Amino acid sequence: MRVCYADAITYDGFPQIVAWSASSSEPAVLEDGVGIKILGFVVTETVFVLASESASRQLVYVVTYEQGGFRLALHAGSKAKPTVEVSEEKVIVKVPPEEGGEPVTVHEFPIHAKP
Amino acid sequence: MQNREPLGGSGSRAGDWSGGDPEQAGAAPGEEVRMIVLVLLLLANMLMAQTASGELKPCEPILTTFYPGWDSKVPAHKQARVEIRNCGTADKVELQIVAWTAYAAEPSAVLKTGAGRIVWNRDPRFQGGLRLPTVQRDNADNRIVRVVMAGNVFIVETAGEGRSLVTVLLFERGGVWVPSQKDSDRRLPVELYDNTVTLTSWSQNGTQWKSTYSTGLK
Repeated sequence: MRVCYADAITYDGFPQIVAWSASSSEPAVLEDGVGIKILGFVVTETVFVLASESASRQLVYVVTYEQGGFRLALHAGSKAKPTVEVSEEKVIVKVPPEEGGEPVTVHEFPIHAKP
Repeated sequence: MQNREPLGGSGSRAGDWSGGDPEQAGAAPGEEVRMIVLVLLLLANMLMAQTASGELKPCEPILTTFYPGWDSKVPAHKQARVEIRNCGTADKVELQIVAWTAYAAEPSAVLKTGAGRIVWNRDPRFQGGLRLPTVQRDNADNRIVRVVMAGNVFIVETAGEGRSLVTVLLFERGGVWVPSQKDSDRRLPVELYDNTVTLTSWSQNGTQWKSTYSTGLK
């Protein structure tokens, strides 16, 4: 299983987010043609977070691996940087509001770790 | 070879020594012996980091590579990077961590993985039989369970035989620094907030430690 294989990432420009399952001959393209600069990422057993920025926004992508396949579970943006918390059993992504006074949007993704 | 030492930064703690739990870090005032032991352990950490690339050779093959800042104008093999290599076989994986600065001909850090134990080795540089604590890792980890990369900060957690090892690497001032390698029997929380990465750990007596590293990002 592999996703966001670092060798293939173009840090400035239009990177693709692709995901490969162990037996797949072709990757699944989860996001294409996004004009972003990658700032960092978090890789766990089943949750993958890509933090990036475009010209005007902070962007976060979350890819999850469930039941043998990948899916783009979150694509969110804000003017301010999101916070990513990785605990023993889940990844929490907190996306700041676009305007002051609005609540932070919290997204939780369980990690299905091998025993 | 880079001159390395444990990084203080804003989050380095006295308990940030390599190869185990910082139990001694919570020493009460007056416990001089424990503090001396702690200082020696910190020294051991420093020595281990300094000798890491000198004594170990990168294994083959490279399993995966991470680049803290990709420059499309520079060939991949000349970029700053962290490689996860296999010193074992395809059937028995033994992970090794190798870190390179940009354009370097030699790696800045070559680190073993696996649970650590303190051994007191005689240091040949000192006469009189001085023994210093060093971390020995006999059974290398066989899988990567977590990776966090943000700016200058690279954290990888490897696992095997019931425990895991969290290795922190910092790309700063033209070198690679290894401020921390911690054994743990649980996954250690990591938080990316603004331009910092915070790693939380616990000593055996339950004391919580937070180490915060700047990513260097704007």
